Amino acid sequence: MTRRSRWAVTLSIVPLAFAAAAVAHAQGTGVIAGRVTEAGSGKPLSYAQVYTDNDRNRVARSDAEGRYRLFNVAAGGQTLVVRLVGYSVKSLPVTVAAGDTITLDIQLASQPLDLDAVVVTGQGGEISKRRIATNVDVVGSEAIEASPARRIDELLQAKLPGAQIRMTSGQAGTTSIIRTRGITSVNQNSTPVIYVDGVRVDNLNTIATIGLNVSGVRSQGAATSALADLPIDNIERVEFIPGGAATTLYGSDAANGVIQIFTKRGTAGGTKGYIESNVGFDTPQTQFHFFDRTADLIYQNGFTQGYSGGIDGGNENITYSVSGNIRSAESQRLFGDNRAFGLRNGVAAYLGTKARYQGTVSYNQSNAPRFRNGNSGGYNALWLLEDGRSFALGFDNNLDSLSDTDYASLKQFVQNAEALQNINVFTRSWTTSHTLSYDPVPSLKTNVTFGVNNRFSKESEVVTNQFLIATKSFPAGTTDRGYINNYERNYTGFTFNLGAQHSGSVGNNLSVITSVGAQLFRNDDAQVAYQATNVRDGALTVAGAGITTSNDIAYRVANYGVFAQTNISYLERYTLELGLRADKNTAFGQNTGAQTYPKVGLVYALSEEPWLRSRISTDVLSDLRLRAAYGVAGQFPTPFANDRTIAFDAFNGQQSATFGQPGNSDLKPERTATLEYGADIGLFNNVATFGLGYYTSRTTDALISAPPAPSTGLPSQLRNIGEISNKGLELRASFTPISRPGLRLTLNGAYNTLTNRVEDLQGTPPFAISGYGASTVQGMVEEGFPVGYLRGNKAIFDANGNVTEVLQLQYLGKPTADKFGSFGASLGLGERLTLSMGADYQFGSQQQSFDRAFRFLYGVKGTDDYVPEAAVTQYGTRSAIWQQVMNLWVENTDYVTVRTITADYRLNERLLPGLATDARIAFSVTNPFRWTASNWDPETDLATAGGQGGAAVGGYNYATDSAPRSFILTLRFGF
Amino acid sequence: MTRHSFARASVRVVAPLLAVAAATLVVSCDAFKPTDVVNPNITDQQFIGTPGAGAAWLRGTQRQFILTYNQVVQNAELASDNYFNNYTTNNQLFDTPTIEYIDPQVTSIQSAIARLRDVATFGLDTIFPRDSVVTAQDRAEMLYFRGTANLFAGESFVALPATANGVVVSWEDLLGLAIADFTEARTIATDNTAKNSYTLALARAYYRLGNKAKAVEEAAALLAANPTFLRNVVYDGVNGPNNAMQGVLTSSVNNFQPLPRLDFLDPKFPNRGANNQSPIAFAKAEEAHMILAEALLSDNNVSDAKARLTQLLSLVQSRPTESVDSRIQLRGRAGGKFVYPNASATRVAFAPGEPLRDGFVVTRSAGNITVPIVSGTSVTQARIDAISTVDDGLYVLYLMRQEIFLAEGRRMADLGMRMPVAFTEVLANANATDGAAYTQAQIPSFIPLAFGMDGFAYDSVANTAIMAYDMNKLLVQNKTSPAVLPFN
Repeated sequence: MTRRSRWAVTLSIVPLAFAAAAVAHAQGTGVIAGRVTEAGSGKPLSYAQVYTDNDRNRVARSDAEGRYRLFNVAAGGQTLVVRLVGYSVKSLPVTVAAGDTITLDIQLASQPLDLDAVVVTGQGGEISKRRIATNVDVVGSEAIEASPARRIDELLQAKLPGAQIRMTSGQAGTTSIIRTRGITSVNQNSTPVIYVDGVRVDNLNTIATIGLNVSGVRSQGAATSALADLPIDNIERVEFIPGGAATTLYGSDAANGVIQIFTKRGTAGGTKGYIESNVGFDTPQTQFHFFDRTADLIYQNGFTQGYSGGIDGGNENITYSVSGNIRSAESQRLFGDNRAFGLRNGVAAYLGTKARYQGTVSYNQSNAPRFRNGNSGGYNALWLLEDGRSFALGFDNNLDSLSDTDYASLKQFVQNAEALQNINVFTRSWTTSHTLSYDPVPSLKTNVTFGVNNRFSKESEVVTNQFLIATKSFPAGTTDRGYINNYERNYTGFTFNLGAQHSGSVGNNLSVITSVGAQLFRNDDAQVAYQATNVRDGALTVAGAGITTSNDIAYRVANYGVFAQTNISYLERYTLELGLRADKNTAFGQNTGAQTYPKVGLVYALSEEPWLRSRISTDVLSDLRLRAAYGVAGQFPTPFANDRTIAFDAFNGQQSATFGQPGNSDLKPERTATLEYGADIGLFNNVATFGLGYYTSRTTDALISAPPAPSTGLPSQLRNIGEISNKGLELRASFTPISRPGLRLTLNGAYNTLTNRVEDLQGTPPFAISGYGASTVQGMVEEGFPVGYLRGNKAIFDANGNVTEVLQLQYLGKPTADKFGSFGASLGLGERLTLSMGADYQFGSQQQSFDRAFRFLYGVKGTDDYVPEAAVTQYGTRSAIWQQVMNLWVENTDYVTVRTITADYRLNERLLPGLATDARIAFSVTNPFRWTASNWDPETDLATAGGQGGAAVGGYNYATDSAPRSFILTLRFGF
Repeated sequence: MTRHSFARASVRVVAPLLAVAAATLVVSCDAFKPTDVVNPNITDQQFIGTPGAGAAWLRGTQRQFILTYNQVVQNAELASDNYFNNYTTNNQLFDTPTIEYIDPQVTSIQSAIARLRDVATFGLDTIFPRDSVVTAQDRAEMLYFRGTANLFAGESFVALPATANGVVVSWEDLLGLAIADFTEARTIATDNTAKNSYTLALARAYYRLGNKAKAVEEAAALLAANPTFLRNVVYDGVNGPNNAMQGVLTSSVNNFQPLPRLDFLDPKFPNRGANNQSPIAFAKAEEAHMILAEALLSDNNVSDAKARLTQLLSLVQSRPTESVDSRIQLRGRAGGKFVYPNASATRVAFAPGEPLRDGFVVTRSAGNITVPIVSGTSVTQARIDAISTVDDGLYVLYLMRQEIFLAEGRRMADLGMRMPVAFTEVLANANATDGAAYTQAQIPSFIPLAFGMDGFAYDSVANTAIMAYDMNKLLVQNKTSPAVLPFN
């Protein structure tokens, strides 16, 4: 047996042992039932967890009306515990007699600091946030259900106070930029790792290596994101931990943080169900259009409809939850119809009193068109219309002043081309997760999780001769230029987790929670392209084309390691966390051994100090907690980048060989060490709460794929030679000035700062990770500058507008914001109506706009003031000057966006039809209000990852669709 | 079912299943290796010494030669008066001409040259010695490719490292290295046609060095061996590399525009269908005639030079032409920065004050046009006959050189321009120094800046196009400059 295969043995023996030990033994039991409501407003609270302290594995959850039913409660006295995200935990003594059902209604008080939440992500087991020295954000099911978002990153956009999430394009299903705690890598994407019920899932948020390119030189624009097809229905909660000390237990995989999604597994006590419909429309954000007529030419008010439904229930031994959803949207873009559907089920079964099985399966598929954008060249509607390029095809590019006849001619041309553009993305993914938990004694919890995620995507581009002729790329009569590009990516990820957590105490005051575990994941990512040129119009297959070609690539990686963590708390007042992870990864070079990642954390619950309590009551200072943590997390290198290879290319029908990748036997993970401090403060019974944080992180061994000296003739090779720093403040606050029956107002806000800098490149020349040629603008990596700062020509003007000097390779701005955050408000009127809004903002970042530059270059009327007239005269022509004045195309991209406004009304039960038990009606508007400093939409950002999984920093406005403004009416009936 | 019995049932069902699963995994531990990851690509150790490695590497070197040549040709054409980049992709500064050491194209040409050199060296030193079926001719070809790397370096750059991260050596020394490889290649070659390539390459290298005697000797030897010699660069229309010049000459957008007085020669590399790429004449006998003519003119032997030019003209006229559907070439009317003349009625003056002449601009919108695909010229026998002075002979010779070599990447060197050592090289190579003379491009002082070389005044009403400068006239006027006309 090889050393590696021992893993398999270990992982397979453990569940067997669990199952064998899960012997049921009966005692007298009773039932506790009741209703969970919000203190003050009386609003029913769903999905609150209810359990007794001597059987934490048996958890009941409240339904939409707040009702819960906890079965099999051992007879005798014990403590009933009720928890819900965003509320203080409630513990109350209860005595149950065998065979009895007792009723206990429970009121939970809002707790914006959410310190009572029990989290698992990054902790090795369940642990209360009070004992954790790092930030963990939890988004509960209520917030998820109330959101009109259609994808996970959009859902989290205004809900993770420390993260900055931007949808970069309005095309359905495209990539986003997610940043938490800055940019730790210039080689790898900053999207956090994503787990669903303990199973690592595909988080590709860039183009694939072999993938569709509809954006030209920077192919990232309108690339398809794996995050877009993660189903977001039937989620119980989402946990998020930022990279650094919080993610140390994930080892070489999580320098950018972890998002973990927990799905529902049903609640005991009869069958319950719901059906929900979402109907509305998406409309373009026309305020960013240069021409009024652009909206008429390629946009529409697109009808959108989505329906979902599910049932859950179960008895004292098995609970289940099944849900499904289907969505169809016309989109704001003409011919932008897209659709998706998904199914998910979860089941939980008690195997006696000590063991429990939980399993989930989900399936999801989606279909969406793509439109050529950015730097695609050729036919690209936004470039043609908004950037003035239409003149090249024989049209007057001043759209708004066209005569009716000329406009009709342009409209026919554009809409014909749009209709003939045939680019589609299909994705299909399924995930299954299986967890067996076994608690041999109440103080010891063990579990094993196994799961698989498979995601298949097919991108296909069918370009007909008819399209090429219609878009004037080839003359009429052309028959041999049609082509088809197909790209398929098949990703399969396996995850095994093994964990044990022991909770013990030394004496009465010292509590020790210790976790140990092992984790293994393996990802197989196989990609193929099959393409055809000289295709007859009408053909949708490559077979029979004049010529067919194909290509393939595979990435495979396995990461495996062990971890241990202990959390020692004295009186829950002084807490010390110590953790260590060690792991190996197949992407490391052969000289790189196991990597270890330590962490240490301290929590001081000052408000628990008797000396403080004797002076300040809990009514004034509800909570005061100080915390500090240091930890290291890693990010493993691109699979196979360690090997030295020979490259083969087909050449005139034969093999040709040349140098491939130079290889690196010393390749190892990037390591991000983070030191963070914070304070959590609750005042006046949590009427006002504050979270104050500061972090400073340094990524060493940063992976740099920098060009070597050109005299080597070699391509770039990944090396661990960089150092990057990030630091910033993380402040959050909530304020509930009014909270009484029938009226509750909560305000919340978050403010973050970021200073990002490349500290050291060990002499590597500055290199571009985004952008275009040096004669325009590039996103650079250079010592002493932020990652991806914009560099280009900077013209200096005198008072008369003449150019006195053009400085080359100058700093023009940076795509990362200095300050960003979110804010929101929620107003409860009566027990039934809630009005809420969420917003986010950024300040201190810049973008370069090719839209403006081209509009000027192509002589669109109304652009005379883009460049001083004297300077244009000085250079003679617009084409002679536009690249000399790149600084004029860079603007601040400060913005404040109200992301959603929602009115949510819970209908009176007496008015409901027979079967219905509850009903909600909600109306929401997405992106209703935008304030921007730039002349364009700062969120339409060509995300610019150089390749699969590459760092995407953004910074470019270039023929990209804005996200739509959406109006959605939601009806939800429970039965 | 009671809770008790249900639990037992669950255990009865689940436990055996898990036991079987676990047992299967234990027994088949060799079949289940989640951490076993195999790279599907071939490593160098897997490759060296395997059957056919030498032949595959030689083809890889041929392919690299094409990639390098594509880089050299496109950028040299832009930097000269031949072509103007009328669109926004490709290099935007070479037309000025502005050639900075920070320019990514300066870096990429240099890298492509170095790669060709090192791929060939690896083939000669590591792959070939371990492959018993490699022939002397294979080795000669590999030497030839390495020689062309140094030839490109010596023609296009002020100086370059001759090895990876090596010391920066002068262009003369780089040409010396090329000559050494070409000489050895010819010595060991067994294929006579290939030998002619090496001979012409030697003539070309000696010419650029100004070594008249050796250049004349090799040029004469070539013509003696094959007076119509032609070696094409053959592309792969299916898998690439494609002819990069063809792409920018013939697409509806992103195309390079020739100076209007060269319009009749364009496109030299026509589109012949989706899967077919036009070749580029890389080495042709015309060059030998031109070397000989220039040598004669430098010896003040006008009459023999005229006879040589007559032979040259005859050879050019014997080269093939092709009928091309050029309607898609809209001469800047598809969004170009400038609109170029596109009707044969346009009369062209080579410089302000020069007479307006017909026959240089072609009407592309009215059916097929005929273009030379190897060599073409506007020079006639009558024009050659009219030569009476050395300078006029040189003028005609350089006009022919320009027209015959159009789109072959030769004009930048003829204009005396050289690229600098790239900034990246200076930063990453301890043997290169920032601020050294080789970090500056060589652009002779007589070269007009601010797009002067590509400039012309076009009057679409009067149908006239007047070039801003006649660069061949300027070359002759500055013939004593060490940067140009090597024999003067």
